[in-house]
Amino acid sequence: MARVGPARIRLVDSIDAPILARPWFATEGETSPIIRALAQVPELLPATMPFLGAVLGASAIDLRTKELVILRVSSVRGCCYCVGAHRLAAADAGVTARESGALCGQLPLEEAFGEATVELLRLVDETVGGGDVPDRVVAAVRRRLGDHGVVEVVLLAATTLMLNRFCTTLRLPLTATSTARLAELDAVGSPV
Amino acid sequence: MTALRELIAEGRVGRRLWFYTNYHCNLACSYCLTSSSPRAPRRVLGAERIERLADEAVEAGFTCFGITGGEPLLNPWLPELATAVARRAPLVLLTNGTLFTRRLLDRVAPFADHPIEVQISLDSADPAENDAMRGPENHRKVVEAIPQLVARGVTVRVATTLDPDDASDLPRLCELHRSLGVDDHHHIVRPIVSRGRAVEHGYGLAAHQPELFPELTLTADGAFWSPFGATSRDGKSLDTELLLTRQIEPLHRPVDAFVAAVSGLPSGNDANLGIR
Repeated sequence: MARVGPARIRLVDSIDAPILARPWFATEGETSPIIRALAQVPELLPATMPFLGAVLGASAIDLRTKELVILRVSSVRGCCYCVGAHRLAAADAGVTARESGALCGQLPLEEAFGEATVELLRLVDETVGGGDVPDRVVAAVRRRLGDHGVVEVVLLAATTLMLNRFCTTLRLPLTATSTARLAELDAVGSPV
Repeated sequence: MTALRELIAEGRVGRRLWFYTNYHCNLACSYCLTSSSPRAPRRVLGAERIERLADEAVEAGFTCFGITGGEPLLNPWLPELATAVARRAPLVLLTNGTLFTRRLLDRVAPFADHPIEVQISLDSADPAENDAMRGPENHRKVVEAIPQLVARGVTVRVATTLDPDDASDLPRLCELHRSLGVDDHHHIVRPIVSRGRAVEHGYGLAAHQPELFPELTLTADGAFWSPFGATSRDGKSLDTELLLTRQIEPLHRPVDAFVAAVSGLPSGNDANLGIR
């Protein structure tokens, strides 16, 4: 993966937060570097953040499944920022260290997940891999999750890919809090 | 845009739309909000764009305009732009007043036939004191230019930027501007605001959103809460805390953000610095 930090643009500090960006700046703790980058163009925040919240946040699909998708995409596409941030989010959503390791290619998916999840992750891999997606890959997930489930998973994978490229190209650094938490997570034990 | 008209009618926002035509300047005043200088990046807002925006502004409910910079008259097209803008609504044009050659005086002479006020900075009756803040020969050039403009029928305002703790020179300055043909109604006194280069020199009053009356301000870098907000610390990096939107066209984009920002203020909030 590409090396981490420093960011390639100025990340807006809370003291410099534009008027309409202020609601997204944390009153306590650290503000997400994604928000600090988007604040360079404040009118993007009221449009982007509700969209990201709807796609990445709680929805008809459970959060654990969504974090599997996000972490898988981010690992496949080599986004240091998103892998770091979503290893934490995945752990918070109940994803085990072993599962996290499998998502990051440290062991075969089949050794960490059941058939349904492997099929889901195959769809995710095909979605962000480029080119056409085989019918059988879509159909397998459609049988289990229905049309609406496919729509959510594909949009989630595609949105994660967008964020991967945003964070990687701008070389966004993880917050100090996230970095410390990741160190704690890794100290608990190897993911595999 | 109806919301904007209501806010203007209620006096909650300014009825004037400001344009920063550019950020570079032939001077480098020690208290300059925008850290302007000959070497500052120009960041020019072109004449055609300003005219388009002025059309939209009148439709949106703005009833007057302001042009500032940098030094607007460094743009060769400025005199014609000013008259074009003033055909839509009254205009105040801020200038340092040091560029008025005979040729430029002739080019701005048509201002007399339009609702245009030329606002010229003059900070002290004492040349040395004035020039210490604004640069060599500034006082002489301004004192020569003002009567020439007045003689051509151009309305001139004198703007004095003062250290609020030292107004002792003001009576002499008022005698001076009267002698130049500018009456007391056309003399504006305002405090140094601690933004831009003033921060580097430790001058002025702190001015953040609560202290600044909302007057939508358009620049090449985006739309701002106030003309006192479109500032820069070192002439390069933009202050962003009063930035509304990067997009300035079509005008309804920054206007919507402006209205949302004002509507988000608690009722009864008013700017208290008196630097409108």
